[in-house]
Amino acid sequence: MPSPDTDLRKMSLGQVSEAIRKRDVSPVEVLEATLARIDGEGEGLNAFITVCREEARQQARDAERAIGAGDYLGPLHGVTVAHKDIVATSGIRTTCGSRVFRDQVPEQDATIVERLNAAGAVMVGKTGLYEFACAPPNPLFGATRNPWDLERDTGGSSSGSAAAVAAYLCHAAIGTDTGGSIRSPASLCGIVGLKQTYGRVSRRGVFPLAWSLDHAGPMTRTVEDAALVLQAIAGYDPKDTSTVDLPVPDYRKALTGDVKGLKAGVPREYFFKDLGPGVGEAVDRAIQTLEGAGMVIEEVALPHAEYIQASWWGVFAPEAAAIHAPLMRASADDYAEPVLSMVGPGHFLPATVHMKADQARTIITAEMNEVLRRVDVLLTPTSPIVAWTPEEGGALWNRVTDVIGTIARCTAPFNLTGHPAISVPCGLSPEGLPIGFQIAGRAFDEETVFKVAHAYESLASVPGRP
Amino acid sequence: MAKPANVDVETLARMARELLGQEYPREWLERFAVQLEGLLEETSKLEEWDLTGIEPARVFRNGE
Repeated sequence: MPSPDTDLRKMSLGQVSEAIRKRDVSPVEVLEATLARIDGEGEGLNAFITVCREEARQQARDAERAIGAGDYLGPLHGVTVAHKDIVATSGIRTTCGSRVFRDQVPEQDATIVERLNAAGAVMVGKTGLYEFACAPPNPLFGATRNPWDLERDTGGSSSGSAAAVAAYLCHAAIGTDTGGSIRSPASLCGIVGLKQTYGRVSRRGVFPLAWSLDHAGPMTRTVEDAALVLQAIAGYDPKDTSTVDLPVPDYRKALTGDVKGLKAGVPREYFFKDLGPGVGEAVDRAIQTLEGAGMVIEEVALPHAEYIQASWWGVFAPEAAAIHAPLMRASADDYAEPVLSMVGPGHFLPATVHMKADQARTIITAEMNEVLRRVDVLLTPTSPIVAWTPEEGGALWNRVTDVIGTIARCTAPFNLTGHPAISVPCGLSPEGLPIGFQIAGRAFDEETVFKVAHAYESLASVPGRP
Repeated sequence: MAKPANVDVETLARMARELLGQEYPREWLERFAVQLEGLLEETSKLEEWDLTGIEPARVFRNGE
């Protein structure tokens, strides 16, 4: 007979939420079990920069009292969440993983934090990340370890969020994604990571990396959990001009399991090149699973996919350089060299290159839209490779432009075009490391993305982390 | 085809001084040079693509 703690440990956000709603378990019990895991099995992971024990205990007591009084706020009430330490939290240190902001204590919450607080979620802490969500290492707090293999990297930049969710140290975490920083670590840590449509979720209070590529979104253990978190954080924010005033649908209603007749495109030419051992096979099996469920699968082509990486860099580099210029002037000595050498060169890129990259982006986005008029979703690998060792990581980051080609090849295209994309676990490599399967959809059609991801998750028997 | 890019460290040092008001250590500038070479090489692929008449995605919004 498993102990109550073991039961809580394995529960998804959706399951623990239901237990809280039915008052089978209290938010305080859920939190204390979570804090015990952070102090226990979380010890060697370095997933958190800050654990907010007392603030969380107050939130949990408030949730318990409110629910006891019949004031139940919904599925996030009393569940535990964490925020990447680049998301502003009022009164709680927010370092961006950099010496530049080592002592920064924001006065205001980011909109995402406000919305999760309003939904009754209990924030257990701030998670580790690559410096400025840009490049490893984290010079202040060091690297996060992969819960599947402590000798392996989690990927990034939302490293701590991925590890914390994978190791059951919170029910959901917020990450950010400029080229794949939610989906790639989700893939490497065997969890679900969503980058929703650009404009769907506010980024006010999230320190930017590149304005037109940045997204903030949920990292969870199940697709349903990602839908529940997106439900709470999505929607227009008058304080973030990138957000769009569109109705937010009830995402959980899309989780029917019925994908019969839906069309999926498989863009093999670009997305299936140079994959690591086992990755292509696992993704092909996932595609076959969906075909077996009645989806219509066809190969599709993105005519100018070969320019995606050039366009991404031509957009990213000047935006990142412009964002960091004032800080680099004031605090250059506080930057670790890898971030300086990633955002610094953007100062020297001709403006004409930036504009040409933006022209290319117009065409690439239009071609993606054209393909997505013919099919409902695109199916691809998430990360071309599985979690790497420190030695392999050093080589990967030796020349940063190679990073998009290796780590972020399959994820960055959807930052460039803004389309929604989710990563779900789809198997293990020969070394026993998680592989991710990416499902991308039409702009603002997260419902179909969730529907397909949930159907796959329900049908596949993907081994989870013990 | 990507063009080979040659980034001179001294030029980079001068640009850093003039544009950013920064004196970076030489080893950092050498790393900058490697990264800038990569950036110029990667983005030079765009030069082969005739984008005449295409509006930049400056009003980029939401996959439209």
